[in-house]
Amino acid sequence: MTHADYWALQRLSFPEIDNTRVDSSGEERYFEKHIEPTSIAYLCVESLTSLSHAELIKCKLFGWNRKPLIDLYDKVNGEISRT
Amino acid sequence: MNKEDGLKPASALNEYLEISITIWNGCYGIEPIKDSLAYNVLSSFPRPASIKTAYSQGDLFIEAGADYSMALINTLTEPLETVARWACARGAVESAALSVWLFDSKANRRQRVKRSLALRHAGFQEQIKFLNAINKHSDSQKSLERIGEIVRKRTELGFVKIIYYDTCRLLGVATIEFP
Repeated sequence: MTHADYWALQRLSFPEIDNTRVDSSGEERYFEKHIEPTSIAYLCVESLTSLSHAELIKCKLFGWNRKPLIDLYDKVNGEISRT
Repeated sequence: MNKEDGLKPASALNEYLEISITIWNGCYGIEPIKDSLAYNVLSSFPRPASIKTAYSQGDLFIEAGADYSMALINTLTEPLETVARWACARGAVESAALSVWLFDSKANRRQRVKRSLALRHAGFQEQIKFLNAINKHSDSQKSLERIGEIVRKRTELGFVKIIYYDTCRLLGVATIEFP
């Protein structure tokens, strides 16, 4: 996606739609801008996990109390997992 | 999953960012606590500035990761942006991975400095390409001189090779060496 590969753009953001919605002859193919809700959860979990991991690694190295961040991560990750 | 459910993860991620800022401001300082690994490394390495540079780079990558995460949230609110959100998430993951690489407690002090130097070296190489592309050749010469300084510093610190990071591999933690 980040390199604008055509197949990725189409598959993840512009899926093909039922062409009879816009063209009664059904001869042309149509694509529609779309977000799959499950992909939102995926992207948020990836960002959350990566960022919190970096923060926790720093806390460990610097000898800081990691518990508040771990508790927050568990809570937020749980919220996302329930969706 | 309906549309409303789909936006809950964005709300949860936003909650993490907001509360974690409060935690950082309230619980943590700037300096490592005494006798922590970071403290001991800083006080024992012959050139503490090199260790501090590595920490500073790691901090910047955390900030960048948070910034990308905020941008990701923005793409998930109306008007929804279906393409840009992927780039935002990638930026968050890659920035965080580089921070982990620099703050890795399993890395010894020499490895940490080598990683820091490698990042700077690679950064200047990219900068030179950019400056040449916009016809700022005199500035690119300065970047070339900075690379020379890094190589000299590497030699002073007794490193034969420095480690180069490979951002093409997801998480950016795969390493190869170059002379």
